[in-house]
Amino acid sequence: MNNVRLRKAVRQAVAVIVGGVIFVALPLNHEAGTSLLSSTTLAQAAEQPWEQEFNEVCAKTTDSMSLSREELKSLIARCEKLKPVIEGLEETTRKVYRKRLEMCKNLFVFMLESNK
Amino acid sequence: MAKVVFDHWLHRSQFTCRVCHVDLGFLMKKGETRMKAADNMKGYYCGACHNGEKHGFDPPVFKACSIPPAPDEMPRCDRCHSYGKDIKRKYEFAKFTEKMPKASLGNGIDWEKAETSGLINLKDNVPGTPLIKRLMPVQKDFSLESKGSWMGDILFSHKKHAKWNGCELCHPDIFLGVSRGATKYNMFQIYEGEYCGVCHLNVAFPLRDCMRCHVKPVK
Repeated sequence: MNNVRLRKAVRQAVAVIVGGVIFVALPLNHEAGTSLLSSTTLAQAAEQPWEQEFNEVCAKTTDSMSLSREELKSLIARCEKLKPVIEGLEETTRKVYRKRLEMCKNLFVFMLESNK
Repeated sequence: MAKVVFDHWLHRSQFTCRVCHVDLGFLMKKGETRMKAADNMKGYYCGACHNGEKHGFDPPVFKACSIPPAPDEMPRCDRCHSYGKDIKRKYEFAKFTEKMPKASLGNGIDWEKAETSGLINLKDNVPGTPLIKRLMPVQKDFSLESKGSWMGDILFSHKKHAKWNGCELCHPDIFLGVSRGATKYNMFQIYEGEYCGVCHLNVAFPLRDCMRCHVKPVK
């Protein structure tokens, strides 16, 4: 009898854990289309505010063709705001993110020009 | 320390171009990135993957750099710093690609076909680059008029290019023009390494494989 209860309790615990994982993973999986969910989540947890902002802004490059002029202008402004923050970072981070920010801002400018 | 021998073919068989050339910040021309061992050790560039963690691979991806390396770490250093050394590579091109669809030019592999047939499954993200990527809405394929009467028009697929490169790898750095036809370029410029030549002169199928782009019948 005890064994049956124990097995039931284990099954319930497993169901709760699996359910929790699915709940956490689904929204990310839906948007990201990536199998690196846990790593991505961990990386995001350790993000600095500027990094969060960078990721949010530059993730929009994949939607750049469908953004309105106002949205593009706002993203360009956010890139401009990020620039001095990135210039103040240590050498390697600055080198990597300076280029990435430049690519992302230039794409938004490009899309804005083509939306005239 | 010997120079690094970088197996571009091995990395391209695992990742889309934009993982390295957009998300990790590797510039498109050799030597331009000015990457240092210290950068790798901080988890940037090669160090974003080569950090002893799994990243979906088994066994885990070997760690990139240590300064100074301990004597017992030297075989690990040699996996990249192998120029001029007689080092047995873990992945040999011939063996790795023996089942892949063949092409007559370039490195002899039709990478596009390898992907569509499921022989390679390119990852579009690595940990530490948590950009959320969605399927991109892109323009339909369009044709570009050939300047030579002996050559058919080009059928350009934005879809294929955007899937591997994203948008920002080509626009506006390589293709500045904002509307189709606005940027005028010719084969001479492409052979000089501009426009399509940025990739199709070095990595993607070579320019001599004319019919891969000029697919339309000659008028």
